[in-house]
Amino acid sequence: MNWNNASFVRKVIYLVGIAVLLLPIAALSQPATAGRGQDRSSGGKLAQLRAQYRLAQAELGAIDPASETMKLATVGLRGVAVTYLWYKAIDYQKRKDFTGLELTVKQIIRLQPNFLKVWDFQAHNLTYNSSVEFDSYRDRYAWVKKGIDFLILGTHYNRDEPGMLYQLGWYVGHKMGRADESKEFRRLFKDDEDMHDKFRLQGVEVDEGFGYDSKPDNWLVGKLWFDKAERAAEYKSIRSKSPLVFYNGGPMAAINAAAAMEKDDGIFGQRAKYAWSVGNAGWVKFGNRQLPTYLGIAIQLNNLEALQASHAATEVRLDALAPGVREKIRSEKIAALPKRELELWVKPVKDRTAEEQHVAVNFLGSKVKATNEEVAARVPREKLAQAREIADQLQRLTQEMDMTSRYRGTVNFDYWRARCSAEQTQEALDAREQIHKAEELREANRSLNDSRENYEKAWENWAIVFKKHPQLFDSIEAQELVDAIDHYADVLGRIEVKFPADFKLKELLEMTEQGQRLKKRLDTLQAIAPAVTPAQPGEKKPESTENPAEKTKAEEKPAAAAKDAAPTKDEK
Amino acid sequence: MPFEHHIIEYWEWMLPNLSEVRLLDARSWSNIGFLMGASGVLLLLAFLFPFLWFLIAVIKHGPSEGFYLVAKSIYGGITEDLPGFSFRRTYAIAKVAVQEAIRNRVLVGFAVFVLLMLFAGLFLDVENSNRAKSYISFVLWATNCLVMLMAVILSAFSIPNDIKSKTIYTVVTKPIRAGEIVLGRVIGFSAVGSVMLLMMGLISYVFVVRGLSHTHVLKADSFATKADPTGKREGVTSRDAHHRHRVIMDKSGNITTGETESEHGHFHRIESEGEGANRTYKVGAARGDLIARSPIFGKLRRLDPAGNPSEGINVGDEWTYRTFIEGGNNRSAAIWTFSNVTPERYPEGLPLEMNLSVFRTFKGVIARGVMGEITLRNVNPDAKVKSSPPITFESREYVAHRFPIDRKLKIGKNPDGTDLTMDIFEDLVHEGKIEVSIRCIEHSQYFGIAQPDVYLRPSDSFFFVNFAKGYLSIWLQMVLVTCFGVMFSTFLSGPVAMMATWCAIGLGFFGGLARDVLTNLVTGGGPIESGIRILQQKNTSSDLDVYLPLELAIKYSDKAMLVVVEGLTYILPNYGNFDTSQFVANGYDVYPDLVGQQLTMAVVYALSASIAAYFFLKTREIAG
Repeated sequence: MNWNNASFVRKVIYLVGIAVLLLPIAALSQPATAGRGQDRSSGGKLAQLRAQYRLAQAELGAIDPASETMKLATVGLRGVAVTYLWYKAIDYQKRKDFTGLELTVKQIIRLQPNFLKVWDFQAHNLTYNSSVEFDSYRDRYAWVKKGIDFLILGTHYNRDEPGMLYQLGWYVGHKMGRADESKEFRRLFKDDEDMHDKFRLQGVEVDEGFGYDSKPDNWLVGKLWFDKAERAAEYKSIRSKSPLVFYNGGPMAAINAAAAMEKDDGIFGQRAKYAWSVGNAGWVKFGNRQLPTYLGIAIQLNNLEALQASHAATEVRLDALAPGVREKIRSEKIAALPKRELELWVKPVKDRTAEEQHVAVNFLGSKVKATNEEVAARVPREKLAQAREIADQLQRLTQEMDMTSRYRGTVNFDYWRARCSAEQTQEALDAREQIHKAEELREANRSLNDSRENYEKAWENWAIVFKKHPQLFDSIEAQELVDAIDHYADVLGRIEVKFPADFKLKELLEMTEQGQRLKKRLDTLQAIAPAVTPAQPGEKKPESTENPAEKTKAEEKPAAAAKDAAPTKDEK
Repeated sequence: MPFEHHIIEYWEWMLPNLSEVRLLDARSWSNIGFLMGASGVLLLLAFLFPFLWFLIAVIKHGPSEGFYLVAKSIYGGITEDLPGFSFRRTYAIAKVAVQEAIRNRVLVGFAVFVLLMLFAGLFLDVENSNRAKSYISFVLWATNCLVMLMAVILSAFSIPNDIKSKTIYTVVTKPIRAGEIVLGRVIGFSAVGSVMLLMMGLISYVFVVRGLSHTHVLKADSFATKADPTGKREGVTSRDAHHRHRVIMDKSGNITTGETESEHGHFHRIESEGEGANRTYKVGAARGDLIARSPIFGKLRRLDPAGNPSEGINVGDEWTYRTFIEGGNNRSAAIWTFSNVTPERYPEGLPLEMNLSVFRTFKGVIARGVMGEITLRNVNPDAKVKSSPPITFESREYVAHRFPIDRKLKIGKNPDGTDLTMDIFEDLVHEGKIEVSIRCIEHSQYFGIAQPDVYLRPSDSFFFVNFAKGYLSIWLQMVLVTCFGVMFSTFLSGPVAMMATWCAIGLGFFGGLARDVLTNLVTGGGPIESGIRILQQKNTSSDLDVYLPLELAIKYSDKAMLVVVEGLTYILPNYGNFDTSQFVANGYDVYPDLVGQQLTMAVVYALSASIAAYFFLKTREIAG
């Protein structure tokens, strides 16, 4: 050994350095070994972390040799390759080369199989953005299916990922059930045996999602996916999804299934009632679920009334410790109001303008209100500690009530609870069936008198329903009733009968913008039309003279028909 | 056609259209025609190259000596080397090149290709909705990449290796000219590439045909028990190759069209045997996926709702390949004028095929396509019969919609009750021309059209021939790469020549981007600005956020670099122009004019590169 040779010395130093570095490297990256007893090892730090956070490739999902090969083949330039592929995918989509888009997207996910946002984005891209580019509804359905298939593939690479499973429920339920082509999509879904088989392979028992016709209903199958997502969320994080929205999916799917059964499929009576009862049960269960909030407290949506009662009772306890103090504080605050505000406060309600009333209620009301902390501060010294404890309790209750109220508003909890309850009543069931029959007769342009009769029975039933559940006025479904009222007016027009002055759902018309426009139009027509006595029950009025054959001709010339006809829902 | 394509006839491409050229608009310079453009560039190079050569010679040897050297080389090349060119010696060099290529294990490239074919199933999306397109695109892409790689490596290292190992001296001491060395190597390497390409092409063809081959089973109980209001019943075939087909049966139990519905870009013919409960169906092989349509294109003009010529409406699409015509009015139309329309060519009538796009402003009737109308018109304004009665059709998007128009069109009834007809050729064709007018008849709906979207399809070419044309394009690219590789290798070392060849290929593919950046068609700036934006993670349209003087310096530096790159793009071949994979993959024949353009470009570039290589080699002291 020639220690004077600089090159030799350098090599020795390097070798020693390598040997020294091997120690921490081994500590970090030693793999875990399986075995029995002492033969078993948890491995180095990285292996331990992988086990702790379940990040090993085999734990994330299936191992795909093609994916691993492609990742290796990019020799560290995976980011560049992926960027290029994303650019190509956007370009293909721009040029409406959807075959190319599909192929490129499949290549992207091979390079980024565990990047969840990629699956989320591209599945949405295929299902929503690409499908609408096709004119034929069959082609649209095929592309919605592709998005769903794509996401199912994603669940192989990312096992039991709640967000992905939720998305699947959303696409099967909402995309198919809420699209403009929902009728066609739902029909195709019912008969799509290939898709059903694929779902069964993923552990979704499609047979449990049968509708009234013993075929899978898209909403109920969507609910099965939501349920699967909820089961996965028991041991995996839902990541950035809101728990409120996440757990809302399943119950809403059941409710939507019930609504679609009546609206799209024309099924009423006991079957519809049962479907709504299932929806109701799911909604109650959702309301009883403990939902974490961003404040760190958990709430239950069903609990608001109990919280309000508890709050009132606790306030009474606080007031008992300091009788009359609350009113005294209030009086002091009123007396301390500036002159203008005081004048407004003492002004009788009937003399106030709408703006003054708004200011008085929302601004002055809270200004003069005595807070619980103020009341607690004036409690006698010996009861002060107790008062403060009660005040703290009241503050927590207020916070919880506030969050519960907000979360309820987010998911329209009160409305759906009322709706589930109302839809199970005989009046609602009958009303829906009557509207359905009336609309069918109207569209077929036959038996217009029977159509009118059905409408009028429906209005009576709806009036009863709305009286019991006034919150149902303010909803999209109420909006659809206004459409039905418009059609009713059209039927009356065809049989030359005046629109009734004592119309049962006048309040509904006044509550919606479309209703107000309709009311104005009807009032105008009433004013200029000659007085025509409404037909007595049993008296036949002349039927429409239009021939169904002429109606077919009108369909063949949609340009002319579309120009002349009043705007329908489809044309908007 | 689902891909963007602009039809340019050969002479239209070759000759200038000076009325469309605007000096200040670089995008309009393509209208000067290839002949004028190439001549201009070659003339410029013919002056520039000797001038630069003279400058270098002056630095080395002084002005008079330098001039003498340059003049002697050029004069010698024209008067001695060109007449003395020997095909025998060139062939000998070519043979050596072939042996060298084999010794350099060029067959490894072929082995890689075979491996790719064997394991392609793992990477290809077998559930894709157009498997033919994806398979064909894959094999063409794989072949292209491997052949180009092989051509670069072979051509770039050959001469430099000879120079390095000094074997070149044993060659140049023989009575061999520089031109023969260059051409021999080009021919030799091209020959090796051609043989490999041929083998790859055959394997690819078998791969595609075998991979797509499948059939289905159709049983009598596959049909719905309940008929629809028109009396038709729908059934489905078995699921094979990840799909199944719908089948429509009419009231009498026959398959409506004798075929399945189209799915995944193809259909199958169905033969039925037996009657009633004993009826069986035999589903044939897939058809319509491996085809080569030979369309006859017309000239398109559009009319706006006022009946005036127009460019069409943009409905908000980023891709402006198609423009739209409005429906619901009598004047807005797209009119194609077809020439050479004769009864001999189209005895049955007009074999029309359409690829229309649809844009709905409202849903309308979801279950049906938007309705349109075709009218055949006489180009002669004084003709007795000006147009045919309108023929209604239901639009179909993203499919090549075959809509043959019979020669005899029914226009009414004779007094004796027989049909009154008109003959297209006798009544509407004038001097071999006829107009086909297409309108959308639904109010507030639009049809999207581009010129190649509607054409006459009298017959198809053979898929195998079209596939071969696709490989011809790859072969032309390979020859060009070889020529440029050899050219660079005459004055650069092996690795540098390889880099230069790759750069030339890259410029060929991405040169258009440089032009787009210079003309602000693409935002984001040149290389320096783009690099800064990447590091700062800024998008292409936000401000650079640097000091103004620095920003100006960056912009002007980028512009200078891009101008140089743009200049090079006019000298180097655009390999994108040689890409015909879209035609083959989408089932359209690579039309003869395009093949002619590619051959012309290839010959011009190959010759130019070879001549340049000859002079480069001559300037080196090794080449006598």
